[in-house]
Amino acid sequence: MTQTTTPDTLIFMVAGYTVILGGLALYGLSLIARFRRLARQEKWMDELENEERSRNPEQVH
Amino acid sequence: MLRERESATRLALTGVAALLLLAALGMVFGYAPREAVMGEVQRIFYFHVSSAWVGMLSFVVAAVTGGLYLSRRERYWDLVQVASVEIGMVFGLIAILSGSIWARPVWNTWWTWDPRLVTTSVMVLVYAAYLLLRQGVEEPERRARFGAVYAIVGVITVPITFLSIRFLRTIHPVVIGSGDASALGGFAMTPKMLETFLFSLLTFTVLYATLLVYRVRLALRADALEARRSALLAGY
Amino acid sequence: MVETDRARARPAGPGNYFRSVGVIVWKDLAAELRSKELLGAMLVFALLVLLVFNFALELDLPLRQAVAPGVLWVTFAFAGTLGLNRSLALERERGCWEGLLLAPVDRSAIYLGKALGSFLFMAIMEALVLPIYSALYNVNLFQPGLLLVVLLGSIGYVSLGTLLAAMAIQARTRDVLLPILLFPVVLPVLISAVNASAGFLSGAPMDQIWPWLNLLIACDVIFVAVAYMAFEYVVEE
Repeated sequence: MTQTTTPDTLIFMVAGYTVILGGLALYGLSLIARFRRLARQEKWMDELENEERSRNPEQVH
Repeated sequence: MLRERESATRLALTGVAALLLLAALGMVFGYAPREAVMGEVQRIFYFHVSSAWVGMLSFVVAAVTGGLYLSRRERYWDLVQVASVEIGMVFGLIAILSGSIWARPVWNTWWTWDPRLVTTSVMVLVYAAYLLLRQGVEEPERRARFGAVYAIVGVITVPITFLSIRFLRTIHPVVIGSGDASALGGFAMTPKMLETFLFSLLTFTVLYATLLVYRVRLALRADALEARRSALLAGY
Repeated sequence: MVETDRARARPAGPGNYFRSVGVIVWKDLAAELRSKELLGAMLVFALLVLLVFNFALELDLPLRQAVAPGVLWVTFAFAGTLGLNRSLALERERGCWEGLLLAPVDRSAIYLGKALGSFLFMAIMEALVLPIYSALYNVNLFQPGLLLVVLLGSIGYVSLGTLLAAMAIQARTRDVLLPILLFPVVLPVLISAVNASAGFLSGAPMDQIWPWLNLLIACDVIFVAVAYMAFEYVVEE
């Protein structure tokens, strides 16, 4: 039996690619968010270390 | 400075990955022909299989870094392992979900007990178990050792699971929705499809490498921060 | 150096190695025979699983016989987890763990001892479950083929289980972690065991069962080897 028409499965393809690209994007965004958070924490650490250094100027770090 | 050069390399890699992804999308939608029996949904195949491939590649990388950690005891390998597991899990889930969406119109079911689909699910479960194992161990050195051992155990058992399921399916082919032991992916591949497929594989491999590089960088920086925190506390 | 101390304390050699293994097995066995905590828990748990399955799957007789191998192995898998966990946890609770590690024995001997001990406990549990099972599911489970499968399946299960249990008990989430770690990786053993069991129970010809037996034996060999080698990395202190 030969098929004369190809079924319309466009919506599933769209759903599939939404999942694939969406999933990748979500992970990428989570990485960006984690990097930003890290940068903030590094800045706090810089401030804390400067505070520590100014409080104890005679101690050599 | 070395750091600047590393940062530049990372950016270059990201650029290459992005270009490849765009090109691959172009090929999938513009170059590859529409499959006659399934219609448009077949186009999922290219990125679906590539995702599964990356999931498996990450699995192997996790095991290899596990072996490297156990023999060298360098923290770096542990960090790469966690990164690979995390990324592998993401790609594995993407593969399963996209496979399920593909199966729905073709086999009229959301799930088939196709050996490859089941094995990918088992692999994702092993990934999840790995992460739960690490979560439950507090000491970093022990956490790294356990993770390494489990990753190695996983990489040995999962292929054997695949073989057992495949053998099972060859003697019990009748299962919901599919009549063929090689259920998912039953279509004839034309040369253009093959080219698109191979290019997608390449793209996803580069994508994996890019994400891995960044994820490892994140871990290294977090480690450095932790060291600074300990040093600061020690000063008090 | 610790190595030379060990060498001086006990002469190296296979005789001594197997004696260490035997001591560990006997210690667990003797302790269990006295208290019967472990076996009691395993047996009751196995019966409860059986009961739950019976009510969860309200089946007529022929269907019940068809699912018998699957239900049997699920029972063994769950009850086996209990045995593995408790066997290693009791050690830790009684404070024997550090003593065991300080003793001048090869770490792999500890592995073999623990694995063998768990295997014996599992075998005893199975010996008690099988007749009850035969009655409830109206199947004769005392066929030599099936018993062989139970034996081989238990070996594969316990070999990986001991390694993973040693990790699990060192974690905070120790009770729930072992099944989570074990089940995904012990699947080949379960798949082969269920199919081989089903083959024997349905009287299938041997050439249909052999592939599953071969797979089961191969898994046993691989899993024992891997766990044997990996154990020392898991119990470093």
